[in-house]
Amino acid sequence: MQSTVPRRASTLNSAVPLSLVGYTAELYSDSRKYGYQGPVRNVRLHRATTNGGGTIAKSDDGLRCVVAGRESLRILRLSDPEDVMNNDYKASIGRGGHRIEASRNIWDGSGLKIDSAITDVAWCHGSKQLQIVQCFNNKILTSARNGDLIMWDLNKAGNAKYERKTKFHIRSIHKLSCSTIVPYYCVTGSADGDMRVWDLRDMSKSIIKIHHPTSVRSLVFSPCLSHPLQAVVGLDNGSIYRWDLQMGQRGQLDRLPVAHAGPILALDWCNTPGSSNVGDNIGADRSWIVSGGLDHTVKVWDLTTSGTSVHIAHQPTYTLHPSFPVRRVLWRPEFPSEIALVSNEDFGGGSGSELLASPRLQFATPAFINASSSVTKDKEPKGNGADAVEIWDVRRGWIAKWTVEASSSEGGVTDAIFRDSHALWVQHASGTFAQVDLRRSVRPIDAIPRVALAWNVGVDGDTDGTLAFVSDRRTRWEVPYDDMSPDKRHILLERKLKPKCLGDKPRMPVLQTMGTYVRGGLRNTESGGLFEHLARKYLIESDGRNRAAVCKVNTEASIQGGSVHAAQVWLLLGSLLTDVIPEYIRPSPHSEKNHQIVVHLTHSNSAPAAIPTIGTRSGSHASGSASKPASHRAASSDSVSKMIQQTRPTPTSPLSHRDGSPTTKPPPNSRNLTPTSSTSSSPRHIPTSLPPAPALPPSAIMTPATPRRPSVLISTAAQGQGHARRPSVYNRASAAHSESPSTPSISVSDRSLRHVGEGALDDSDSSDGSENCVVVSADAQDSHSENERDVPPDIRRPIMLKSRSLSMGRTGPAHPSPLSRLAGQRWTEDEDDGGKEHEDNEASPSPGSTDTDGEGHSGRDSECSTRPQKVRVKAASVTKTRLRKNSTAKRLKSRTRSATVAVLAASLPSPAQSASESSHLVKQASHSSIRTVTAGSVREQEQSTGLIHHDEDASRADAESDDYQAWRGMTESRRRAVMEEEAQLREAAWHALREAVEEFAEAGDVQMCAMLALIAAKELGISQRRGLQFLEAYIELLTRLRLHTCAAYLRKCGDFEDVSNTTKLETIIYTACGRCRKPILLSRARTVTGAHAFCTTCKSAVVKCSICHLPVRTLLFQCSVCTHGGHQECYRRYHMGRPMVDIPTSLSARGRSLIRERDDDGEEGEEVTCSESRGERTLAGHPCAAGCGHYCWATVGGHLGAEEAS
Amino acid sequence: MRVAKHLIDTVIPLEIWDCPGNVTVDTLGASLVDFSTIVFVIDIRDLYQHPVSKLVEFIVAACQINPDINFEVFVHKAERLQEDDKIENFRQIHERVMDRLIDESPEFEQFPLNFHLTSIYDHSLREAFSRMLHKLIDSLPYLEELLNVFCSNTASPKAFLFDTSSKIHVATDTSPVDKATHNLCCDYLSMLNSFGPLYRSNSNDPRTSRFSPTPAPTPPPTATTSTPTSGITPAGTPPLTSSSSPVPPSKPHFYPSAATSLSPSRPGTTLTYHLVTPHLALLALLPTTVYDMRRGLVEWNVVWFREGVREIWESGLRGGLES
Repeated sequence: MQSTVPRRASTLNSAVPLSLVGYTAELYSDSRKYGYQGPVRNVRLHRATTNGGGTIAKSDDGLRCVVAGRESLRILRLSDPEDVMNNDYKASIGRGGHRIEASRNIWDGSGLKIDSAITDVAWCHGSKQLQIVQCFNNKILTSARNGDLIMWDLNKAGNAKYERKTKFHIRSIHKLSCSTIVPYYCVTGSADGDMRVWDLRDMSKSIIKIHHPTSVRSLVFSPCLSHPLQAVVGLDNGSIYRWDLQMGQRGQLDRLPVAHAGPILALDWCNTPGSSNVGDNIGADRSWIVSGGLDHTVKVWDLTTSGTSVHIAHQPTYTLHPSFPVRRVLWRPEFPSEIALVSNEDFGGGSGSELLASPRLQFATPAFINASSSVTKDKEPKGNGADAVEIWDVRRGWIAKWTVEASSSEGGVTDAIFRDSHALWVQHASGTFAQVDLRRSVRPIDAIPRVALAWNVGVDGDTDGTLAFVSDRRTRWEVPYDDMSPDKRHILLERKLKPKCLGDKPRMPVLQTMGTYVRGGLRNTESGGLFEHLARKYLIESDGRNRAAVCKVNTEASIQGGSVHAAQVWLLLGSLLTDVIPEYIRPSPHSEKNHQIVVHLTHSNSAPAAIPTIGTRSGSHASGSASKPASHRAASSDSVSKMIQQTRPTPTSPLSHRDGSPTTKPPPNSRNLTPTSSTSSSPRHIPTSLPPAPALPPSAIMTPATPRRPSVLISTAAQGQGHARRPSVYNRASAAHSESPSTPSISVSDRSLRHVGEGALDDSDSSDGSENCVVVSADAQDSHSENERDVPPDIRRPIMLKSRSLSMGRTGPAHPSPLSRLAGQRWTEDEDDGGKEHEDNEASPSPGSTDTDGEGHSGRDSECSTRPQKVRVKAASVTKTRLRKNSTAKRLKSRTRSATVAVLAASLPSPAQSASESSHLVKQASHSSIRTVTAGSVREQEQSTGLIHHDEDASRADAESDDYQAWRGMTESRRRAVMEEEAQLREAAWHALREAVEEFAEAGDVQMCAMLALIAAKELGISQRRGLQFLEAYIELLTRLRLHTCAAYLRKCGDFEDVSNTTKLETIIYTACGRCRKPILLSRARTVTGAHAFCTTCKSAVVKCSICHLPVRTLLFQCSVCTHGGHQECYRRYHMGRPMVDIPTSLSARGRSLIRERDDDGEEGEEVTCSESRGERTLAGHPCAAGCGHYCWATVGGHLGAEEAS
Repeated sequence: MRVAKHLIDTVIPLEIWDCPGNVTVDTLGASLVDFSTIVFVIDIRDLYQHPVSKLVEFIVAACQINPDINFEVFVHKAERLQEDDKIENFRQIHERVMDRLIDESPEFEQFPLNFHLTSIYDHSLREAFSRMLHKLIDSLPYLEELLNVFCSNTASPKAFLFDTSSKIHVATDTSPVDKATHNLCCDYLSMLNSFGPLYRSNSNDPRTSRFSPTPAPTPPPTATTSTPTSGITPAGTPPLTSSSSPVPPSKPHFYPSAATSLSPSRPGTTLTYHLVTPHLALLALLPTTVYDMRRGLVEWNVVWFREGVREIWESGLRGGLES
């Protein structure tokens, strides 16, 4: 149902071939650090122009510029700190010591009026190449709004610099450009569509007029030496023309219709970085024209000059997409591929030059000006006021390379010009002129995330959530920033690399990754059904069951739903959550008898399981081993207990800790009372036995977790070996078996119990046990070390010997047989591990009586146990099993063995039995690995445990004592080994589970993730935050699937506060008394129940049951029509007791609306589906219990029974 | 298919001939000398072959008969294409026509031919007609200059002089026309046109109107009689609505005005409307601060603007009457 379609688009970046990236990387550096190195060059001069800004023209000397506002014209001199101060009219010094000095406003006194307001300005150029009679670098030209072309001469004495004006344009002149090459030529472009060429030597009349269909918005004179008399014109309709000025109207060289979709406001002509291009052949002079328009685009046109055929390409080489309409474009000196863009956004489509204030406002009302300027200042902090000047790299068309933030500090920029490659002069609309240091510019790209994600929420119940993401890699010197310090440029030549230049291909994204995730409808597919099924069936911990039990339930749910994988996970989790710590360590000391009984059962079951691998051997072993086990018991119990002590500290599993509360251990005495040996052993056996048979194999094999189970099985066997206690139990059990192998009769069980009891009493262990107990208690919290197998054979032997002796002492002759079985099985395990101890075992005294059983079992289980790993696992599980055994034993005690057996048997086949039965017991059971084995088995255990609580303690005690003995018997190293093994196994399983969680999360199985997070977040290493995410996602999914009850359940029971808090929002229900219509206020403390049912105004109960006449404070059934009602329970009884009465059709006709059934709790309430009953259907209903004759409850006649039943 | 003639009177009187597609220079029924502008409409989705040759035919004929004639090409139904295709097709038509013209004779290379992308679903058609009209208005530079002065005196970024009934702007200031601004003004104008008739002035007394100090005696606009009532519904392309102007000619001294704030933010913009002649209205974008704090100044500028426009208008009328 899910399909992921990852796509990967990768394109080589042509500018920097990938192969060279590493090679050239060290060449690159931040271009902001090139150039000028002194103090900050920022400096501002306020009121350089009239409000509304103006235009700038730079003088040839590079230090002065002329700033023309609407009615102002000033010469500004920019000086460095070390320069001498001139006594100019106005001056301003920046922080870095740089100065701006301004002349007076030349406009004043010129006699010009506002209709000659300046629209553009140009500073004429001196003669560079050509020897010319006249030098014009002291002349300034301004164009006027009324079509005047005005010349100013700076060399004039006095304040009046005005020289002359001439007027040929009828309408406003928009743009003015002087030739840098032929200094006496100038072109003007006007709104009347004319471009005129002027010879400054004789301005009385323009030389040439070239007419265009629409207004000329921008033009630029050619800067190219090879063809100096050319101009490019941008029109209002977006067309670009290139003219040979010598030819006049016939000299059209290029025409680009619709170059832009809007008026072209800016043009710049960049001369020939091409000529310096090493790569470019033919002394071809390559020119580039950049145009910017109101349509938010900037286009760079290639103008290749080769020979006579020079044409502008009809498609732009680069297209930039700034976020604003562009009013100025400027090539950045020394950076061939960079362009500065000035926004036109702030001028509302206006021509900026007349923006803010009228002269009258300016002069008459300074207050207003302040207000308006303060307005512009208010904009600054918001950042919405003005677009900063941006510097773009042509190769990257969608984002600026640098943003010159300082340029936006004074409001919109009306014009800008480069002082040099690292300083910009800008004129603001507020009238402020500023020099901006480009070292302070910022990289806008840093603010752009490289990862984007989009989520399509399904529409109206359509739950397909489609996810798409893109991610890009941030590389250090990616394209616009591959600047090379001028010092290093020679390296490029050495390496025969080409510096970046115009003509490089635009950047294409490299290695962007894009993916979409389409999730099929949850509803429609099978998996949708599964999801829903699981959502409904899954439990979470907090409803009072222990976690292992919950896992069982969930396992069943997933099995039912057919999700094997989920079932495996649940099984594994359940097994992991089952505490391994022997129960005896815990408080309850007495349930030994049960254990014994259980033991029988377990024996049979467990034995087979344990035996598995060595099935054949096991038979022999069993016989031989039988003796051993007996001996083991006592010894093993000690040793075990010791081991446990030691091991506990190591165990990592938190579960074990739980159980571990050492103080509570049963007193040794109690154990003594109950037959310790028997009980202890029995519990272990039971668990093991149960699991192995049916369910284990598949699950175990399938999942990584499986090893445990096998281990468990083995463990039981192993336990037999290692733990003396079990042996004892076994012995008894075996005895029982021997007596009645096929079906344990009560009598048998009794006997066995008795035996056990005797054995227990006899046991010398008791004393040991007590000691052990103490020790154990200290370590109790730790997980049990089940690593008995690891214990070197040498050590085992002694233990075994001991156990034998012990067992002998305890149970005497009767028991040996069971022990032998167990022992045999266990031994077999050991053998697997590598010991040849079978022989020893055989040699051991334990009678082979039990062998037969053991063999049989082994035969069955051999499959499972065959793996060597299992053995280890077993060891781990052994401890667990012990616990189980204990618990089971306890239960059993109360009843006769046979009974327990029967129960177990019954339980085994039917997995469906609810785990709920085993409330407290369950915990113990859960700890045991057994559960994991099979769902069925688990239940059984639970049940059995539930039944046999009482005995647990005793059994535990026994087990403890046994364990202790066994533990004691172990050497230090062996113990440690055991503990380590146990810890390892457990950790391995948890690890597997954690990986599974990741897998689920990756696969998007939110359900599983959320459930696991709810049940075992801590163990699985799911952080609170992540768990919350899982849960919220899951709940969201549930909500979308309209599984609201499931969602509510999770909210209620999940222990995430954030989630559960949502249910507390807006859940107050306001009620009013039906009689007096006054609201019922709960003034009293909430502890007083029933206040909601008492109207303080009427001083009476709000509702009185019309059946029992008592006030109703609980669930209420009330007919909304006749308002009679009462206890839901009363009504239920009443209505159920009487048949429905057919409602006369006349009534039913209007009865639809009248007869409404109301169900307060859904129990009784079936909604009246019949309300739409048509003629042929009959209505049946219950008449009002109050006798008013109304039918408070109606349904379709025929279906009634069924509905009611439900 | 017959030629339908429409009379439109804006600043200048217009007679618009709506010609069928199969009309030729010969079947037109009049000499091209009598026309000042030819508007040629091409469907952007059409096959260009035929229309282009037709256009070229007209151009060639016009150049011989009446070289001063203006040619405007409306590439219509632009809304039917995506943005990129639209521009591309527009450019293609542009180039085709020019190529054909050059084929005809290289002299036509510089033939001033204006192309407009138009659609009746936005205001581009009005914009195109406005530009067409601008070439016919002799007084345009003066109107434009008046607007320029108004703009600089009121800090307005953009001002239009609209013909209220057709919603064609007869002049604007020199700043480039932003499509959005233009659309805004058109919408505002049609809104006012729709609701204007619901209001009338209480005072018939010219004295009470705030526009009292008129130094020049304002002659009653008798000449305007033709326009407002004559319901001219232009068939074909120009969707000119003929709602009667909000001011009855009998009350020349009442000049309604209106304003609306365009953006709620603090340094916002206000769009103002001032009727300057019975058929012309000034729509201007003003900084809200200016409008709020210097209302009087704005009004004062409007008055002077109105005076200027009236004078131009009346002289035009006189000239018209004389001729």
